[in-house]
Amino acid sequence: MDAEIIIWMIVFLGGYIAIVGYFVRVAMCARSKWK
Amino acid sequence: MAPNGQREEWGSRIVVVIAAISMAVGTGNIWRFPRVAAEWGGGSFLIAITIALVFWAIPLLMAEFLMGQRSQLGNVGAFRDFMGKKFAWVGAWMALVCIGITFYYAVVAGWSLRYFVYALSGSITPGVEGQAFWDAFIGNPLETIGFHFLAVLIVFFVVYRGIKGGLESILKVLLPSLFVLLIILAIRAVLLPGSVEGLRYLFVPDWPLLISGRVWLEAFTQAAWSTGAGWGLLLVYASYARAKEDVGVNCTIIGFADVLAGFVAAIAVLCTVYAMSPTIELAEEALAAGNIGLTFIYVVELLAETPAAWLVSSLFFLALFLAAISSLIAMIELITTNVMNFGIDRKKAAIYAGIATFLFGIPSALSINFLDNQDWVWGVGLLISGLLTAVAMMKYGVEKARAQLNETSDLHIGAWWTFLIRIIPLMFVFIFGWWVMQSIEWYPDNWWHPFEVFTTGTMIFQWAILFIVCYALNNFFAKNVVAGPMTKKDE
Repeated sequence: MDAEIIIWMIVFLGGYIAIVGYFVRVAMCARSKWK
Repeated sequence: MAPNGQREEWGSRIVVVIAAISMAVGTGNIWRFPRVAAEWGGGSFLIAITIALVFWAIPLLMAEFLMGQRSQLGNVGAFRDFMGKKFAWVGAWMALVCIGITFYYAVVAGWSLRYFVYALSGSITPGVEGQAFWDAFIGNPLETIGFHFLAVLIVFFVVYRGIKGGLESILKVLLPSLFVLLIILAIRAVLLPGSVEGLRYLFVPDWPLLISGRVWLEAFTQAAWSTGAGWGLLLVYASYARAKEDVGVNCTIIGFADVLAGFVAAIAVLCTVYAMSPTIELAEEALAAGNIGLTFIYVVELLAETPAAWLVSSLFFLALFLAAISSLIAMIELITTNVMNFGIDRKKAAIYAGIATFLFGIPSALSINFLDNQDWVWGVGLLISGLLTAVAMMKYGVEKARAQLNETSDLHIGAWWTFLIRIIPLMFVFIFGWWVMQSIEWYPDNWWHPFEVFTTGTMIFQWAILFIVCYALNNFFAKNVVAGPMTKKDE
């Protein structure tokens, strides 16, 4: 697998996982009950 | 209302988010997203859909959530209470467009179930003729109607049991199972020799395509259809949310998680297609075959050639079926909630919704042309529902709505939201105009024809009938839908 594909996978897949993860973390630490 | 007379409510915030992601993740993530992403520039399309998510889908999801949460009613009641009694027809339009989709979507769920059974029984073996396999199935009305019935029956039992006992308990298991299946399929596909081409087509941007208007239009329509923005489904789910439920963060998670599911499905589908196709041309032919052709013809042939074909094909069609069912639950819940708003109890309303979905789905089970026509008419109709949601916000007061969003939101919703809601009509003109122009190009001589499958004429004809019915019944809707917390304040 060449470097170009790995970089773009990290950008898109990693970026989306990071965004979802960040907002889930915000929700879990927030005032409204998560569970 | 629950059997004890209490208002039904989701048990926790995580359940609201899971239910909403389940609603959004459907067959479109598996059979459309990979195809469109590969065709329209891979990474360039992913950039465009990310922007579409932020500019179109997430603002509309927030608007829908607010409408459902504040009104505690289905689509008809929510639009009545947000826009005024003269506009109950707008909610009816939104609900009926979604119901039009429900009828054929249940048929597609039935196909997924049938193919899962085929795979499980070991029928998908090397050398299988995908087209002949499909023709034999689709030409057998007993099977297409039978599996349509089974899909409706499964979903009916979930909706019949109510929010806590039915939807909540099923979706909590269904969504994680679907994600696990998609991840397993993606890992398996990446490990196939030659899969790297699939990853290249999905992730590496084709920069010149980024200035193509078509890429942006495909991205905006995919974002609108896939996330469920404008469908009215999130509005219905939000009507069972607690009054202090967060809107902003939840809707952002829903939008991004839906596209993330599309990424994982695209890795699974594209890596399999490029790894198992003897030539790149054949892979491109598979991706150009449309949703049905790709999934039920080419993927069947390609999966049959993979190592452990029985297991991989069973997992693939199980994932497709779970994705279909998770969205179908939301659709039949939409019908049920709106019927319940006429003072009918859940069990009866669910029975009516189940029977209607089965009966009105039969024409789509019998004719692919009919199904394609309904997909075309109501699929594009959803864009109008999205526009109407933005218009409802403007009528209600966008700043007032934003202030209400901020009352319960964990993150501050800035003036950007107001701006985006106000420019949605402009975006609508471009996207909708493009679809109409495209349909005229397909049928330059008879684009006006009301009885062709993909013409402008058939869209306008069916929308006009729906509009006339909804508008004529406006007073009936406005008077007979039960009052919610916002209705009481107005009186």
